[in-house]
Amino acid sequence: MSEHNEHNEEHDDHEHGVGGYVIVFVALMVLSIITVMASYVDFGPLNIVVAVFIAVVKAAIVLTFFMHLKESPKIITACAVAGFLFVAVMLSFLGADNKGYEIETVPQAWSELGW
Amino acid sequence: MSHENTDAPPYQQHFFENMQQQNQATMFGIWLFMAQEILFFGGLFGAYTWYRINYPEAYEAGSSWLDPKLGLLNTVVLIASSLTVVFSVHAARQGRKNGIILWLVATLILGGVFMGIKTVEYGAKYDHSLIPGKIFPENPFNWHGTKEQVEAAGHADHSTGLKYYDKASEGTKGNIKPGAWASDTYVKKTQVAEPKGIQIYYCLYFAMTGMHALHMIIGAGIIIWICILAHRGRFNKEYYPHVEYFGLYWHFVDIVWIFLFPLLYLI
Repeated sequence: MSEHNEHNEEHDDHEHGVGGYVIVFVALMVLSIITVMASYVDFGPLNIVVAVFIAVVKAAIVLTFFMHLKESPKIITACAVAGFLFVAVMLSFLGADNKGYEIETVPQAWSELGW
Repeated sequence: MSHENTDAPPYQQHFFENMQQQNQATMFGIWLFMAQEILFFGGLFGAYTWYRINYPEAYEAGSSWLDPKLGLLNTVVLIASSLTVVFSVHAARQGRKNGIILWLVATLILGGVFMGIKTVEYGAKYDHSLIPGKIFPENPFNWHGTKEQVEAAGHADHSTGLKYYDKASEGTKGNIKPGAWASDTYVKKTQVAEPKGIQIYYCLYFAMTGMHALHMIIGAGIIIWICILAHRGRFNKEYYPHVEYFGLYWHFVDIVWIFLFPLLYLI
């Protein structure tokens, strides 16, 4: 039984493994070119949204296939998702919390360093 | 000692019941490290976001001096290096020692190419007086360009493919970047951009790409170490955690660049 499984895994690796990785690589290349092309189109305030969205898709592809999250235990996926989730929470709070500060205080402190 | 599982392979640590437990524990440990790395770079991206909200024009103006062609080239090189790492892990799974070494060396070479291109880019920043502050007293940050650059305004800059933009003159339209960047609104915005904000942009540029590059240098060291271990025959079909976990680390470095490239070069 276990031998059979092992053989199957190896077979899968061989069949889907290398070929699948090349397909993933090509997909990442295409998305990189799409990012560059999209940057020449003016979506107005959505420019950054488009760029980050494509980057998120690329990162998800790398995580799923190159980093094998697809075949990893759920606890591993939870670990990765938790990291990105908390960064997302932090960034969204930054976006909400950008009013009411005296922005000039920061450059002033810097200017004391002779900048 | 006597109750130890005598069937345990030599690479199984004595405090693990079996290899499955060891593999799960080490895998979880390395992913906790990955989560920490995500949060670490998250802090840098947080700084980027906050200053971008406050200096949007400065970011646009600052990024106009980065060459997206070099950035894209580095993206291709780095994703290709991720592919070679995956091939190395694949070879490890099949127990092919030479495959591990071959693909890791390919990764090392691609990493070297990336760093080489990065060096060219950093050099161009020095030439353009875009190193923040007075780190180089003879060439402090100067958004208006050095004397020679102002004199050369309008002439092609062969080192980056961009043309010098003389901010002191009346917004010479069309000589910044091909395409959307050189629109009328863009030039107007650039004229009001705060040089201080642009310095902040370049601080973040060097901090983020520098920290990314530091990760690659550390990764290069790990590659050499794993190659030596592989050469000594430390790995087999069932035991290759170094290769696999290095792969995770390298892919993460790749993911960081996937975000850095559009945010720094393409905005």
